[in-house]
Amino acid sequence: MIDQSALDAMDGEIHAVVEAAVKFADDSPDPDPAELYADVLAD
Amino acid sequence: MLRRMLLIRRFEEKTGRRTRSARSAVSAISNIGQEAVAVGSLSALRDDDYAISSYREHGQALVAAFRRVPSWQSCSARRRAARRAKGGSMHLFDAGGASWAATASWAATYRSPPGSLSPSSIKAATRFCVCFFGEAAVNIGAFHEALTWRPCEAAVIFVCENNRYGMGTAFERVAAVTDVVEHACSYDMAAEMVDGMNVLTVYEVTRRAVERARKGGHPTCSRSAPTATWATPCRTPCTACIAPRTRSRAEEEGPDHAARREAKGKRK
Repeated sequence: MIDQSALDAMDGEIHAVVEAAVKFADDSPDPDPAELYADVLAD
Repeated sequence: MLRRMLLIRRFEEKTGRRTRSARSAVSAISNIGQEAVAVGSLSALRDDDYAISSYREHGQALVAAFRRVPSWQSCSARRRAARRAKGGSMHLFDAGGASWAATASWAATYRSPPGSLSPSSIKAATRFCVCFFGEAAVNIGAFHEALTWRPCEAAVIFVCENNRYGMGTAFERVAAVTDVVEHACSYDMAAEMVDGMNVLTVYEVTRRAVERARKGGHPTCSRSAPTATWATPCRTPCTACIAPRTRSRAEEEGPDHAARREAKGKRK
């Protein structure tokens, strides 16, 4: 069975993973307005 | 499995906080409380099997196809969103490796499995498609069309995530038959109850369904039911699974279903 300290470690690790993903998304640029209609209708 | 469930939970908690504080550009539908269904069922599949989800799909997405970054990109509508999609978190789609998709159209998931599977994989029963849907979505005609469509038999596993509320409406108020598993008998499908809160049970039932399907059975419909989420109060667990039938009905359905049918007969 997994013990509490291992659970805490896993939780901390996952917390870091999620935070890193959010930071990566936040640091990414917003879509270019010129892309607004791209891939929406057949060219 | 615990790690995957924890990842979903923490991801969704973060998503919820961000959405409520308007720091994400798009809204998101939480998977909190239904982690066991996503993790348990998809863990029983191979990487090249398909999965089609409803809009409450972050859990399945994190397990099946997306790493957390593209998911989050989509949630925040950034440029490098998953597959450059514009739809945000309810329209995650991966046509690449793992072939996984979600549709935000209510009850539209049924139509996708037949289209996603090639005739050869249907015939050989080599690849499977798991189709997730909510219990309230059985009131639409597409549900019945999909279940009665025989060409895809043995290739599709239908998983109903029954959280007892279709948006804010209690299922009991809008359905004559509130036990989704009862619908299975109309389409010659065996049925099995599953506790959607128990990841190991969900895994085991899905594994059995895939096994039966490989031997050449009928489509599988598993109904699982989660839980309590902060998004919609009063969710309670209850679950079932409809599995392909290859042997006798009683054998496949298990004692629970057989007993219920017997009890029903007695009432008549």
